[in-house]
Amino acid sequence: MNEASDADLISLLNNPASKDKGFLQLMDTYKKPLYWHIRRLVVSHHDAEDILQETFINVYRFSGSFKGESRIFTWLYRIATNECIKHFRKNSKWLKKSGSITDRITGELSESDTENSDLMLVKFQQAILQLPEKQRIVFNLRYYDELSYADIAQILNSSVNTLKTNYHFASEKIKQYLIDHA
Amino acid sequence: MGKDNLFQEIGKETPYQVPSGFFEQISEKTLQEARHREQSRKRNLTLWRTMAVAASLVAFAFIGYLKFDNEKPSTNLIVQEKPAVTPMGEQTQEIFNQPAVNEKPTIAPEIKISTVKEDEDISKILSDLTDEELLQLAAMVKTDPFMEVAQQ
Repeated sequence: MNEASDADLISLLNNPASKDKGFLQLMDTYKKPLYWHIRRLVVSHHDAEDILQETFINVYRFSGSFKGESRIFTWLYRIATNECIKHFRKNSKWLKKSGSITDRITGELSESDTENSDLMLVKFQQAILQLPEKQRIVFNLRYYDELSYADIAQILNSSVNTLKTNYHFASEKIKQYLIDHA
Repeated sequence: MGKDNLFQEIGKETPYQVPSGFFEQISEKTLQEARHREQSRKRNLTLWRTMAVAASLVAFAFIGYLKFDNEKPSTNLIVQEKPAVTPMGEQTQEIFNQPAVNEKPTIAPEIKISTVKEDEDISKILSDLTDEELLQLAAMVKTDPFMEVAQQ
């Protein structure tokens, strides 16, 4: 994720002759971290696949609009996170009659193949899914992706202090959930 | 149990699983989809541009036709626009301009045609006629229905 390789990728993407090559290189570099970021938020593999594709299609289409003011991975995370939020909004309308989106996600998590997984991991994910949307995103970016608050601030267009507060509350709620459901 | 210790114990793994071969196929699949959408977008853009140009041409032609049609001398009745309510002063003026009901319309002067020369000619013709011819003429006058109407 260094800046030199970012510049190379962008120059490849912005050249029509090498656009496809640059796109494939960009995907190979960022598809895994982005997939897991999306998957942790939406839980379902199919939804995560759709959102990942949508994220990179947007990159393919609007690569010319990337000015290089931020690092490429913060730009990608921002697009992916916005796509996830869009997905939540779309589904929240659909889910009005059938309960909250968190219940649905938690349900899908229980149905998924977890026979080889530690039950503690499932419970931990359930605890994260109980969080409000913003706290969930901040916690995932900080805990799993190990991004700095400055990077998260760029992705979510928020202040570092607000993010620290969000992360603190999220951690406390998760801990409490795990104690309550031990 | 501290928060940090608890999180360390759990680690960063997740219970989610990914279908085998997913990451190997997703790049090419996404590239194909991106290309397809780009082509569709360009096609739609071209279609919209063509339609916009066609619509503009039709609009220009229609405006041109209307303008040309207005410039031609119209055979239709020309309705002079007047305000729905005429101001009082103008109405009075119009009434003054109209001929009064009892007023006699101006009649063109009668044209008096002199018949003196015609009378002289007829007398001369009659004097030249014989008695028989005069009798025949008198009989003809009596029997001619048009002459009777003219006399009445």
